[in-house]
Amino acid sequence: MKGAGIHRRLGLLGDWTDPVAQLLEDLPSEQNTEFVPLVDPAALASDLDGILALSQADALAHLPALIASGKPCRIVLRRRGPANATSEWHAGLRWLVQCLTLAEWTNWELVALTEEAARELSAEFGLLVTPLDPLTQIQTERPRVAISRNTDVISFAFDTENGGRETRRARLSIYNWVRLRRLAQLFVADSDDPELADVISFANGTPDANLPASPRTKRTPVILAVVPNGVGLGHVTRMMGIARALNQSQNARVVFWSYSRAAEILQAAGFEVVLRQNAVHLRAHPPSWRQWETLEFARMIAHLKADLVSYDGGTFDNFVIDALRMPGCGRCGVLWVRRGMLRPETDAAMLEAEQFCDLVLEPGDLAVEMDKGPTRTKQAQHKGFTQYVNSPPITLMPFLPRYSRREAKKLLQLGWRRHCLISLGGAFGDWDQLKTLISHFAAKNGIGLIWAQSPLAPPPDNPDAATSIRQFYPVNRYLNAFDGVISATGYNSYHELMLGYDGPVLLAPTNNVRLDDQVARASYADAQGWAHVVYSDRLNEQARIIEKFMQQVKSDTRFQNRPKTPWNTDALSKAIFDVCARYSK
Amino acid sequence: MTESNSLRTLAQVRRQVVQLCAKERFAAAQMYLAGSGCPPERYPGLWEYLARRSRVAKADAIAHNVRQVMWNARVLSADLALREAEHFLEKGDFRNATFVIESTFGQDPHDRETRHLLARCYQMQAEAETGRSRLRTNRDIALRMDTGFEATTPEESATIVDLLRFSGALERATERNEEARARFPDDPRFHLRLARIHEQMRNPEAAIAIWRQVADAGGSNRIEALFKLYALNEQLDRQDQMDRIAAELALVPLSLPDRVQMAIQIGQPLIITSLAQFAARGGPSGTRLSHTEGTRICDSLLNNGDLGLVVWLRRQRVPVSDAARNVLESCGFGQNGHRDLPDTLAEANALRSPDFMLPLSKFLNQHPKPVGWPGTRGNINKVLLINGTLGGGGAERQFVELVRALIANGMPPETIETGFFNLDPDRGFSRFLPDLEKLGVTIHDMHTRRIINSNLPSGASTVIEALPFDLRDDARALWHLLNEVRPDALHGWQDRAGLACAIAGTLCAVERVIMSARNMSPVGRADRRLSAFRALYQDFVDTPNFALTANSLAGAADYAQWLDRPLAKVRLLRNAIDTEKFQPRTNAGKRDPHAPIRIGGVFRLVANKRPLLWLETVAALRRDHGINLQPKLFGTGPLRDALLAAAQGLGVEDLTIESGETRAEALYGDIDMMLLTSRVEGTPNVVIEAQACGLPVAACDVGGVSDALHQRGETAGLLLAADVSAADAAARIAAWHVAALDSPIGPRVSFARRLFGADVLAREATALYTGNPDTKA
Repeated sequence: MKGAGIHRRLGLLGDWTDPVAQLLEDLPSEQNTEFVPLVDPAALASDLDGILALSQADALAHLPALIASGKPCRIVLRRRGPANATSEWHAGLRWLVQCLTLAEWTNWELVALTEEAARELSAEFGLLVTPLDPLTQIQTERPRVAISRNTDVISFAFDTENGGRETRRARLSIYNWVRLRRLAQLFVADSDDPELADVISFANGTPDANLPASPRTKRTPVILAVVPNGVGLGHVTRMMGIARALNQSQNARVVFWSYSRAAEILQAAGFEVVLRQNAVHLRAHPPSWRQWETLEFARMIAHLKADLVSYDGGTFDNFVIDALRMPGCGRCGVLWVRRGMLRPETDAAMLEAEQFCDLVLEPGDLAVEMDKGPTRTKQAQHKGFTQYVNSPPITLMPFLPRYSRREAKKLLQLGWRRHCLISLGGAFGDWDQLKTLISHFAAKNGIGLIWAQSPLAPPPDNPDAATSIRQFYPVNRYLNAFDGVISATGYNSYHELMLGYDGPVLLAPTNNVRLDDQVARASYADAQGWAHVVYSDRLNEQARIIEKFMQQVKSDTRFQNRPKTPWNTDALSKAIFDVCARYSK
Repeated sequence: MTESNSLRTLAQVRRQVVQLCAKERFAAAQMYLAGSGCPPERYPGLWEYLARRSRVAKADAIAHNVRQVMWNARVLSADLALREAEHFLEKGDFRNATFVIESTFGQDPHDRETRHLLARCYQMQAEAETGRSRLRTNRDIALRMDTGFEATTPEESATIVDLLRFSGALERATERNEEARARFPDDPRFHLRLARIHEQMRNPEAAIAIWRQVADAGGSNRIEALFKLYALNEQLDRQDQMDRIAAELALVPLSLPDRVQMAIQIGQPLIITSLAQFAARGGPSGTRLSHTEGTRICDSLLNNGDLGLVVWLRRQRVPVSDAARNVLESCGFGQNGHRDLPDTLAEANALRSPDFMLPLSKFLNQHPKPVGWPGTRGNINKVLLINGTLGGGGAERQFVELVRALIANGMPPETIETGFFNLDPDRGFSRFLPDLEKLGVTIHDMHTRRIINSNLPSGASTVIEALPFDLRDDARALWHLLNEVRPDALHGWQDRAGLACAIAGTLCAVERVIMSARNMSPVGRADRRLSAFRALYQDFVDTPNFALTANSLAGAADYAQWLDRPLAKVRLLRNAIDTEKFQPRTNAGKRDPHAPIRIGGVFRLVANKRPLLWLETVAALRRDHGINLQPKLFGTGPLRDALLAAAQGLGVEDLTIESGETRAEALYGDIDMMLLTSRVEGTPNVVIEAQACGLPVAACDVGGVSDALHQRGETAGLLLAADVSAADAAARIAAWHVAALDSPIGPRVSFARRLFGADVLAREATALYTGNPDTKA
């Protein structure tokens, strides 16, 4: 079945991440073509309109199946590369020519990447070889990058805005060449590598004004947002905040590719969601799962014609990068939403994922002064072509108005007595002591405790009759119902409370080593006088702090000294849409 | 019990056993018999009856059980012993089968059926002991089984033919096979066996003719026939035929393992990669390869040195054989191995054997040697010289000359041992064996040599088992020999032997290892199999106590360039000629000016020697320059018939070709000048020999020809361009030949003796063995 707008399905036989396979996407004549990665030409042939063998080796490897497929077949003839001794290369082409002469098969066509290659191959082997249509040259100014087979690392330099010059590095093998040619002007570094020279010449295109350009039909940007299976709702909430901003700015279409059980939340918020299962969910062999996920994700990128893939998480899963290298996935930028405040001991190797990206967006953190993590103190060795944008703290607050105290109390079925919301992470030194102290001082001050249950968590098995539990999301909308909040210090809770709540707040930073540096974040608020903090390693002071907090709740104390950062997404949206625009041309 | 009671009881038991057997209740019959008080020692007939009936009824387990009881009681009849041996053989237990037969009938049974069964046991034993090597049977056993054996069935004939041909007794195997062909004319197996014997006996033309018939007939043997045809035509350097057969293969719907084998045999690494990727993605079914398919593919790749692809395929869950798994595990590519596994196909492709084990000494964790090790020796206790064979080639002759030179220069014969990978006389591998035997040195045939303990220690096993197939077999055989001989110096003659010496010499920490390359670099002569070992050659020349030699300056330069190393890294060890044998002609300078000029050529009639260019040059000399010539060639080869046919068309009908001649006076005594038009040469012995005899020589400037040709003064030889045309060659020879023929022979003879004398070779070789350039052999 062909999808909407698809006129042709072309099977690609060979290495699907071959630059030539990738570059086909940029041919004006292939704008409505779906590229189908082909394993066995005989098996899928009935669904295809044609087959393209990416090299003479691929054609020879599968010749009987190609003939049996009955489909028109183009064979891309490559000139000699370093993997081939000259004699081997000659022998391979001679072999193919013999086969084509012997076989009762006429439905084939030989093509080459450049006119020069076509001429040379035709002359040498006595068969008609035509050049592929040339690509349209990219006109934007961009750094020059030498490509060599001897190393997978490319390096380049460019002028910085402050008049300096910066040198960057990246791994060549991570790029789809459709993307790469928009990021850099390529030239061949090896003098004796005609095959690579042909690929680069093809990739750089022809400066022929008569060639039709291949812009995408004008439409709103399409963004595919990958949401990993994080510990909390941070990734989802932050990405929803960005999605809302993009919706508002250019009516962008944001589709979520979610491994989180928060998919329901995303769907309820009106977003399109593709719910996925990871290898752990499926109990699958991880490499097999990754292969499968790569193909599925690539199909989704191609189907949506996504302009941008965004990822909010610590490290990119390889399937994202692998999928972006598949044919039909090259006209797609990469955004990494990467919050700071990582623990100081976090391995700086995670920064190397910057090279995958067009844009690294760091959501602002009020406690940035306390940030001692690698995003603040270290630099990636491989930054690639990425640009960096810092935004104000990102929350959902601007997009979801808060309920009035009456509405919130009613929705949560709370009476009019004083209530304190407790939303704690799963990891805190002596959890039982903390809970006991909170219950004790709440009772002493006549304050009702409402325990927030994560939407990701199942209901407790044996809830205490005296324990009031509520499950609601996002917390921010309901804050008016509460006279005080005891919270963990994740990015979202922290910023929603510090930026949008004026009641007493008691922060209980988690000490989960997988998470961000919540202690640093909490201590910053403590130092600023924005909130009280109980530390898991300071047992002696916990009772005093909790008692003081409960007294403030009881007395309806208000905190007017908390920051008032304006929520302005213009710069953020512009940077993202600029990336989208790079790939729409 | 009285006798009558006893008889009554016996009759009752017999009746009961018969009844139970009639009802096929053999287990009950056995139990009844066991409890009846009729032990096999006293009543073997009853037990034998049960054994026979149960076997006929295919109750094999009972039959075997009963025979075992009888065997233990030592009452098993000859017939039942045979059945018992058959039973063992069907289970693949050739050891027990052999024991039963040899215990009952001896090692040389006269009964035809027994002899056949024993022959099958020996064949199966050879197959089991072969492991990942080439199949070899014991020649003595094969000939013993053959003696007096009259085969009456195709199976019996096939067994004896195989036993003989895998032992190297090819002449006898041919006779046996011909008998079988005459007796069973419709059985295609003997047709195929004949083709295989022809291959083994180096009769490629005859083998090609048979395999072509098989391929054209279609059927189940077509694919094997095409593979064979490709390999045989490759031996003969027939590119057009190879191309055509390769195309036939590519168009046949081969299984995936066969397609991988095709790509390996044709030498197309990119196709191998493409097919490996296909296998990883599930192959034709798109699901998963079967165990058989997976193991065949992985074994083929491993044999080709594509170890990385095997690691990668295993990571993609393609089944691998136990042997391949052991190799991967022992090399650190197992699940808990210490090596990085390739994540991508490109990484996997780059991981090749033996390259990943280099430097070999580091891979083996050998202690680094101090600079200067092993120092110099005043004399040498033992040197081991290795070559592939003693077939009738120039390099083999040079091998003998080296030994002769060493002895002549004072090295005692008992300090020299020689080893060869194969000396099968039936395959023409022992042509120079008599010459070597006369020199009194020890000669080891690694093909037939009996190895008491074939196990390798773990380090050696890890390295050797991971090698590509050919090198693996050579290195294994050589390792065993090295451990026995324990030489101070190991000298590999020609590239194949040299590479095996590089591996085994390192494994056994031999003090000095010398690899004498005999020709241009592998890439220069388009030898893709040897070209794949570039990194091993590099490791060799980078090892301080190892030395690579070439026999010409051009060869040394070619190797140095190919290996990307300074020229000084490749030492010169020139050829030597036997100056006693190649004496100056006594009739030199006495040529009748009116007699035709006798122009000769001494070379194999193969494509690399360009015999057609030689012939066309002679034709042009006669036609365009009016020179009165008498052409004569010495040599054999696959182009003989084509050359004779071409001679007719070119007006050189008087061309004579002599084959098999090696006597100096016959080769160089009856010609006036020599012409060599090779495309590829190392150091051409014939050029040196001809000059030593005083003959003027014209030759194309390829390989080491320039080094070997006297080029000074009026007596100089004529160096033709490497790509010279026949017309140009003829024009230059026409302008040169008169002066050359009339000039004195002394300078030529002196040139040949000075540079290529045996004393020079012995001195240089000894210096390599001792590390001391002043050492006298």
